Amino acid sequence: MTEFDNALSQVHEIQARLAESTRFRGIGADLNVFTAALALCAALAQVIWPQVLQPDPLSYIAVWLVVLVLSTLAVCIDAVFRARRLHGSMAGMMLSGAAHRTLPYAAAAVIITCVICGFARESVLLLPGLWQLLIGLLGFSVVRSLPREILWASAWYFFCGSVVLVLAAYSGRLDPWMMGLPLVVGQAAVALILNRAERGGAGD
Amino acid sequence: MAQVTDPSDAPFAFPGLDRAFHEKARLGIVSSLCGHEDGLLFSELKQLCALTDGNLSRHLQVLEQAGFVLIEKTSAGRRSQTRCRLTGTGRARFAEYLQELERVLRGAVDFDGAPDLGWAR
Repeated sequence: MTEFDNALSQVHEIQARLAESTRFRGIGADLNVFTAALALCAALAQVIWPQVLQPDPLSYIAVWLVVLVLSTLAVCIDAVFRARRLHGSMAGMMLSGAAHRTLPYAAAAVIITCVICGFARESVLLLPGLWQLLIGLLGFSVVRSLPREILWASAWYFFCGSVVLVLAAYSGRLDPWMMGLPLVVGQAAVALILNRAERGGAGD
Repeated sequence: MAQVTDPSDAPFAFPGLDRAFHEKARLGIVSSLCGHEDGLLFSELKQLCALTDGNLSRHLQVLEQAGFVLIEKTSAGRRSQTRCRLTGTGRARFAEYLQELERVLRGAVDFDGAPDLGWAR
């Protein structure tokens, strides 16, 4: 290795440390309000039109799958634009770090959903609780790159996931608020936390 | 003297190498701080950068005046402590500095005696 290569690897190491210790500002409060509103609309729609939107557990799951996919896509697209705007030359590294931390949970959610819907439909009642547990775990895993208060939102999802798992297994049915309440409160809390952090960091 | 307006006319001008960072001691200070979101104590920085109290204070003052470092006095029991951390602006500007430094080094690695003035773009 030449001296130049050595110097380059030192620069890369400092860049990595800088990105790792910098708070990720790609997740905006507005988009989390949108996801909370989307969850509220889905829950209300299922309450108002139960025959159309939740005649059976698989239809219930399909509705919430659409909500989760739309929310994830919106947050991801917004994160790319915000990161480019707010992190400048560090955007690539910040986005790549965020992807490394979140992709395993997204992959786990996809695999669990596919396996249960495809091969174990009798266990489909467990999906809402499992999804919420995964969102909670995801929150715990990104706590270093987001405001620390995000721990409370993660704990909320973790708590709700456990309760929903028990309720679904005990009652043998799925209620719209089993997904609606955790998502509306959780996403609103995330939006509030991010908004406070953005205001706090504005003077920096 | 003629002013260079297009950066491609002066590929070796390196405008991104901010003087506030481009000094051995200050580069050491900022490199130490960049891995610690909550900053470091003055005594920790002094040890990490092998600087005297006076030298460290002088360099920190330069970085503080540029808006790249925040210096806070905190109290731990009876003793007061000085904590230094990079500001958001400092982080962003240091990232740009590192990117420019990387371009300089890549150019030097690629440079094989036949100058191609396009390498630094």
